[in-house]
Amino acid sequence: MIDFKALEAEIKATAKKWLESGEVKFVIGYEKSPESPIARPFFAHTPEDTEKLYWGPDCINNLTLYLVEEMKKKPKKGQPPFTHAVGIVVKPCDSRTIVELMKEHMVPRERVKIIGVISEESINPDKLYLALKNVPASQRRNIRFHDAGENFRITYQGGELSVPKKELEADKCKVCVVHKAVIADVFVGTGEIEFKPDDFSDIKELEEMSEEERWKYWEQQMSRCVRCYACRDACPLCYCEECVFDREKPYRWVEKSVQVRENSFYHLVRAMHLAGRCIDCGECQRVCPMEIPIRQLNRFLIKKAKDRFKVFSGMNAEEKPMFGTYDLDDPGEEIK
Amino acid sequence: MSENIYKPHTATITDIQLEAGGARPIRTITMQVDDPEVRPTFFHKPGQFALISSFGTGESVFAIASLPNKDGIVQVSVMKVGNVTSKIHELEIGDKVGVRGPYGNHFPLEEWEGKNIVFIGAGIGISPVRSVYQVALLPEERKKFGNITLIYGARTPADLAFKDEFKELDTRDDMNLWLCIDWKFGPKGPTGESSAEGWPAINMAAPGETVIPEGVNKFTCFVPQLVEVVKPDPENSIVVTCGPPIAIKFITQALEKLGWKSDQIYTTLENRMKCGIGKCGRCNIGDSYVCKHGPVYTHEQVKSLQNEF
Amino acid sequence: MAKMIKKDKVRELLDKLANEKFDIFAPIGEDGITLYRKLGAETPLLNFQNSSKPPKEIFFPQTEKMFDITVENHRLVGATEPPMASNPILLFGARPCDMRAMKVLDALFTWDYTDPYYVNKRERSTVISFACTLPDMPRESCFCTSVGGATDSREGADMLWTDIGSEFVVESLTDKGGKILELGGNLFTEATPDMQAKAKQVSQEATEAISRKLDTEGVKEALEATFDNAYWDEFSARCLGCGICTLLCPTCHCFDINDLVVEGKASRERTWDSCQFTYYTIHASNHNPRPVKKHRQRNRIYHKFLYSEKNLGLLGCVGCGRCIYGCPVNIDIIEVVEGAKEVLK
Repeated sequence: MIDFKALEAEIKATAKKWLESGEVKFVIGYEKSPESPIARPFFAHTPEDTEKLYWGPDCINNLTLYLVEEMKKKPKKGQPPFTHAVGIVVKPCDSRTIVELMKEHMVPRERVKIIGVISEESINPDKLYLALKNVPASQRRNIRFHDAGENFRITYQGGELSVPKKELEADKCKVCVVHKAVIADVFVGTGEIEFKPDDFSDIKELEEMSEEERWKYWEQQMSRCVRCYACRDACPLCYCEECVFDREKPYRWVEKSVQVRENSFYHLVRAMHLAGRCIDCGECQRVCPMEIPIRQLNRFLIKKAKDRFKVFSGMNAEEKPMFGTYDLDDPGEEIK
Repeated sequence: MSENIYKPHTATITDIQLEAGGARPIRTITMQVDDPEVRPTFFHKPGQFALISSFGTGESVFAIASLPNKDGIVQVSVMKVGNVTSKIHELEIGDKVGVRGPYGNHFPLEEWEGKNIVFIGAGIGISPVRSVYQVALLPEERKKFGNITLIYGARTPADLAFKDEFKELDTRDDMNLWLCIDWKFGPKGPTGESSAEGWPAINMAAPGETVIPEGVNKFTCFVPQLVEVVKPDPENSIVVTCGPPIAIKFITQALEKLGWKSDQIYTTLENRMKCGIGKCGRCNIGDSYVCKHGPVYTHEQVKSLQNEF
Repeated sequence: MAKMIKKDKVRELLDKLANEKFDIFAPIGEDGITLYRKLGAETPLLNFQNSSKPPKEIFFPQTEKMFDITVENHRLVGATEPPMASNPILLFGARPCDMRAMKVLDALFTWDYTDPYYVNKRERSTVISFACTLPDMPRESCFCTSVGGATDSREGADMLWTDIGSEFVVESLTDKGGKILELGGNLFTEATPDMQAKAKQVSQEATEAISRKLDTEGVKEALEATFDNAYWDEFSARCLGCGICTLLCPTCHCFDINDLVVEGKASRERTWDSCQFTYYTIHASNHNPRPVKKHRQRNRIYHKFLYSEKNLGLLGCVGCGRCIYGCPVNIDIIEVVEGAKEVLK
């Protein structure tokens, strides 16, 4: 049984200590939103701010996005480079992003202080909304989660309900293989959680489709894309200074037309740019307002990277990026 | 159904002048609208803009530089910076372009009779300024105004546009011309310790104290400093200025130091535009749409806008 | 005066209208979300949470061809408009907030210059609004009643249908609505006083279920006074800079115009754009008047609550709640606006 309140207290205390000592400029964590059922990103700049930090299974966002944003900041001309460190609260999956960012020299180890939370799975907000369907909208406030074994006991303004954890579990959590941050300065929580080997059964159906069937499937999905670029903007590994899809000079690589041809070009190229890097935090799919199963593309490439290049991203900061190395033994029937 | 407001009229390029070389060359393109019935609708007022299409590449906004006319002749000065402008630079005489407009408000020349006018242009900002001084310098218009002063600066001598025209203006005795090029881009290198040949340096620490050598009217400095050197008198006068946002900021500061009031300073703002008619959004500064409420604003109006330039 | 139609007769009505050459757009469920799609033989959703993408796209498609670019002697020389259609359009099952939003677009697209593409489609259209009724509506992010709307708002609609169980109470509001009654013939029957009372009651219940409130009193003053306040940095710090809040907004109307050449054919088209994108305002010189997220979020809020009213005389927000519901980092327009008022205090 996990005591979310106790984890939250530990997070607050650590963040407070770091801010008081000045070890970090600010701490990136979560706060509870007054209206939304799920937590949201929060930046604690002062020791007092840490009181607002929150922990629960509804801490879904991959916050490492803001870490890269801070690391990308450059001083004004003539000023010395920034060296300040930033604190961050990470779930096990998100910690893999930091490893990947370190591999790519986007985040120097000494500039990040990590609170790694040993956690059970996150919830899927869509499933949460579904579970709350019969709670009148006016009461869907102050939502808190309590561990009750197989169930979450969810309290809200004026009531509570019990929902099996399995019913709320985010899809990405079903195939997760790390239940403890792979890198952290402080671990919060205890407990050993069993590894579940990932058999990629979730994309089996898709893989077994004929090329034609699969294209038809994706055509339908891509037709819904509104090109809000939330999948890219929510992705901590999509950190290019100027995204190729924004680029207008000297020419546009992808037209702004919202149609299957351009939409799928965008999604496929983005997926390729994440091949061997994506750690499957699932943010791209979660943020998609059109429910496009973007993770499936990434999962497909994660499997490819694993099977063919023996690469599993975000586990070891000493490794070289997959696209940054070439080995004579690399497979590559397509290009031979 | 009435005329499609987005539909460009086909026009034929009749003249191309290379105004400035350098890294970002400027060409002045003259075109004439093909349809004789449409031609008179292009009669514009100085300060208004047009959207020029290079078909297949796109459409961009340009200040109309030509003198108002009923023959559908539209002239624009184009600096090669983006996709459309690069394409326009490749066009030749006889090629087809699209044109729609004129849009936006204009400089109220009619209100300025009897006043002195100071024109200040920085970089490509000279183009909209030119559309006004060209009119003011016409023989029948010139007598309506007092003194006319023209101040213009660009990055390097090669970047100065309309060179031939300025040579001619320099010989006119009914106006004063002042030119400058940027200090740091002088031919002796970017370190800034020297001026370009034939372009004497000024006292950068206190531009107002610079002693102007006899007969010299071109210097190595930024436009705002040149304004301080020239010291235009605000009495019964109007300023028309245009340039990059940073230049306009410092030009108005220099003018204010000299006692100019913000309602005496007219400028034309440029923002990214797509439709030109208040639909597509992007050109707003606060609640003011540059394409509809502008592009001509007094500095007083500019100050009342949200600080978002 | 009110009519009613049985739910099981709706498909029959739509068939009749399709025979009259109506292009029918209606809510369809697709992979868990609601979207307005051109209707074929399928039955549209009659009970649904509001669509992910607002129905404005029927009149103002996300991508729309404006011109074919003509070629002479291998040179691109001119623009030709594609022919405009003339058959009627039926928007079936719009939510009242989204039709109030069309008033903003109507004002914008006729502001001094008339936009032919939009106006053509609007003139051809008939709109049947569905009053919001429990349990699908309102959603937790709905706040139409705070910005002048109602769960049964008739603004912008030609008919209002209210779901009272196995039938809809039907109210015709315009001549176009009358035409639908005429074409439907005996599919529409008189609504009993009980039915009419029930319709009022369900709308009332839905109104009461709206939990979010925004007090618009003092908003304009607060925004005018706080433009340069650090407040706008604070809440936009977590913004991702994506376009969800704007692309899903029923009153947002920004678009981009681009020429493109595909397989040797050139055309000019327009596509929705978003003030949240870096490239939206950038000059060719690379100068950007709104370089960071703070400026862009602030522009969105100010446009809705200040600029729109000044320029078009209408508030730019109809309280559909999509930007709240859709935001991945919970930037909540109500909280943001109320917060600006707090700053002023």
